[in-house]
Amino acid sequence: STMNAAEEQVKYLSEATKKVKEHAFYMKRAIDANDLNTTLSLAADMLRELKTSLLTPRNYYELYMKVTDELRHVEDFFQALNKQGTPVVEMYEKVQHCANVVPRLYLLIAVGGVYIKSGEAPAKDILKDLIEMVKCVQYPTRGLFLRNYLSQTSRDKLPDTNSPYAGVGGDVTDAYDFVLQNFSEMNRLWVRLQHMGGGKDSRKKREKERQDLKILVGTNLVRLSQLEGIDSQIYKDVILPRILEQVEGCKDTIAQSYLMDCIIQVFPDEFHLATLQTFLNACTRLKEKVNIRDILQSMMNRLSNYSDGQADRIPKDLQAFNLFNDCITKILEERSNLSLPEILRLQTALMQFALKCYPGRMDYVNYCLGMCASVLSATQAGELDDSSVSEVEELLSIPLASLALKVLDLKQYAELLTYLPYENRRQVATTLVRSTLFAAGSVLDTPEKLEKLLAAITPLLKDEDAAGDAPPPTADDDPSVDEEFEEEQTLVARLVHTLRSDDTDVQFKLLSLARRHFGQGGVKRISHTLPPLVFSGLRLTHKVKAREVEAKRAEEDVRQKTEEKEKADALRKENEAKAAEDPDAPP
Amino acid sequence: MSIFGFSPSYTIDLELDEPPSGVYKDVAESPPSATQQGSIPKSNDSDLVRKIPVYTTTDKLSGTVKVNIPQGKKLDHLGLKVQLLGQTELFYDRGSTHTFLSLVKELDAPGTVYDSKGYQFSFDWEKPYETYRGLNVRVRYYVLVTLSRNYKGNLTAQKEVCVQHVSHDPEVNNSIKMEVGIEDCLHIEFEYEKQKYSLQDIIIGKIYFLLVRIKIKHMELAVIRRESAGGGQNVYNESTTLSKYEIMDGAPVRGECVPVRMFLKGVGGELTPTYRNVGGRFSLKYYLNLVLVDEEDRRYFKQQEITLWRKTLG
Repeated sequence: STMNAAEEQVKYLSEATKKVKEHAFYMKRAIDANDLNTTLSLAADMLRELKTSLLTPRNYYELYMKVTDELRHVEDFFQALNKQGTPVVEMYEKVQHCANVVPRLYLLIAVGGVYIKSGEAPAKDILKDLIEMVKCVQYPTRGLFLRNYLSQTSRDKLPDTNSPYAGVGGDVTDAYDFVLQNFSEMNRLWVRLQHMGGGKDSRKKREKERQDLKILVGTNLVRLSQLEGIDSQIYKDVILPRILEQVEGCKDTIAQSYLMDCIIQVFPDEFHLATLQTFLNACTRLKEKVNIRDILQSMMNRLSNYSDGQADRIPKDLQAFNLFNDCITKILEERSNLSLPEILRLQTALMQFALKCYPGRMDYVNYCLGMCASVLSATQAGELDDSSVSEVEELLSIPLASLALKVLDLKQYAELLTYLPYENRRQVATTLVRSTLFAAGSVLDTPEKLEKLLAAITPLLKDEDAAGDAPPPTADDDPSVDEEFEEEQTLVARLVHTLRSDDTDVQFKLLSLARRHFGQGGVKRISHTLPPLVFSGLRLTHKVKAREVEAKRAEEDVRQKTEEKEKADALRKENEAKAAEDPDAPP
Repeated sequence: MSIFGFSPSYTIDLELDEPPSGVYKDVAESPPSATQQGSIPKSNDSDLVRKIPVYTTTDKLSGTVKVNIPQGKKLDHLGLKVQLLGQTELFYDRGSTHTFLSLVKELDAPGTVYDSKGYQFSFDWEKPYETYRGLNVRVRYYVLVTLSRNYKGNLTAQKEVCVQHVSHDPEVNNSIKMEVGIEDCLHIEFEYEKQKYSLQDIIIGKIYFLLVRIKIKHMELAVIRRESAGGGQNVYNESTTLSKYEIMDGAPVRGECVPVRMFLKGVGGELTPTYRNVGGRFSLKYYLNLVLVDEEDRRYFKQQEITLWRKTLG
């Protein structure tokens, strides 16, 4: 063929579309003439276009949309005939005379929808029959779209609680049994696509096709989430176990990755809280290549958003942190293929979850940092690969927004910093200073605290001792680097204002400590960082002077009072002596 | 009527009363013309659909013969008779016809008829076999009226009639369940709910796949009719596929169970009951042929005989 594959697809699709239009035209004429037999014959002709194996899933979807659009006229016609007196069961049988299975089943579903609406038979019986008969299409793409048509047609006709089709027509059990079965079969067909032969080259193509089709499978889960009659108890006892049975049983990486995420997105938070243990257990049994971290992170984010920073929204007895941690621990034990960055990323996600859902639980944060420290202990600081480095930087930066200075109380924080090279430490340090400045009530009031901080932000204060790290920029350097440096040093300078103590001696100690560290920074740094120190110092001297003056005055007061007291005492003594010598003399 | 527009000619009409069953059957056959010269014409296929009366069990056959004489003319004849004939026709070899039923009623002795006249008749008759139109064999019943004349040839008229026999639901009707396969290739278990089906019945069953190592493209169920005619040294078997019904699209995997539901009504008017050794001359058997086709168009099949029986006339 002189055309490439894409051109061929365009040709096939346009040919098929043309035929569909043609058949549909004559079909609609037969409908207008109220001629059922001719309508069915032409509808079958139109539907036969969906037997094709030539189209990619995307193009098949285009064709499917056109055909099912036209089918709506047929559905309306069936309904009109029924209203005019034709029993639906007659039509239900008639369409089954069609000798080709694909057209036959589309027509059966079309009548089936009208059948349910008519109430001439219980909804559950019709649904049972349809879900059984569609098994006749085992070709994956065709089967998936046929079942999608079934799902679409039946979506508003399920015997859900409070639905007009419940009662004699069944109840929510029948509704979800139907949807779950369709889901299972569709997943199996979808997975089957993976193994449809063609060799290694077509594997990528097949995987892409699978991605194109995944929404068809996921729609069933959406359908389940829309059933009013399913509460968290039913979800826990029936729905989730059945879904997970299929997810685990299919043993397919693409399916597992997609469906686990789908579950998280589609069902409400209350359901997830009720089944967290079950869900996490399932995570540990997924295939090797499934990115479990993505799934766990997704669930953690979901619950984080739900708790919205309030510690009481997550039920206390749930122990969500422990559940996630146990899951992660199990995964780390059982999987050998987790890279160091992935492990770090996992711990970071867990820590983030703790910060959001359990604000104030510093032990959780410390635990995560500790896990990272132990994982890193096997590696020498400075030997870390780039991915791991950025993970550690992320790990250390994230808590700063909510904890700011409190991170310095975390034992492992400082240790983890040492794994970062100079540049990354500088970044973390900048974030730390920034968060300290913005956090309300950030006050450095003891030398110990300041010492810790200064140790943590060393890269901002001076050049790296070891070889190979960047010195502060010179006049010839890139101006943007200059800007960055300026910004950094300004931040450091502003730190000085957080150094506060009512005790002037302590204040002096703080300033001296700062001066000592800042002084090692070199000329370029000092030009930023010393001025505020000087001004602080001056303010301090005023304070001290005022104290001294106050002290002197107090001293003076005391001296004066003592003098006066002495004078008074002496005078009294004199008078007493004079009185003793001459009782008659005037005082 | 003369085609030259000259004086109208003498005609005889054969009218049959409504059969006691009240049932008529559609057949695609051209009606034989009223004035046929010569021998009994064979019925041939055409696009016309006619309705012929259906008789069963002890139904009487009654009707009227009308002799039409033009105004002012008279008709001399050598006798007017009506026959009810039942024949098996064999088309293979040089062909032969065996008349198994021959009843005759004299309607009028030789003489002269001056006015158009109607003659009523009625037959009480044995109906040993069902009417059947096959490839090598036919079983026909028909009414033949003959007005004999010594010159100008005889006037004849004839009409086909249909004989059917109704049965009751069989007392015993076990399911057909069988495992069949090709080693290391394909292994299935199929099940049909019943062995005996009425002509309006539904073939309900399932196909369970125990082993699938071939690339299946689709699966179909065909209804095959096998007509065995003759006997002894000359046995003619003719198989016809009456219908093909696709029951599965695509390739299943091991453990899959696919439902079968095929309406015999959809097979069309060609279905008859199973006939075993009719008049010692032929048998008619029906088979379900389960066919699996693979991607290279190789066909794997399993034929299974079923018994068809008639539940209602028509």
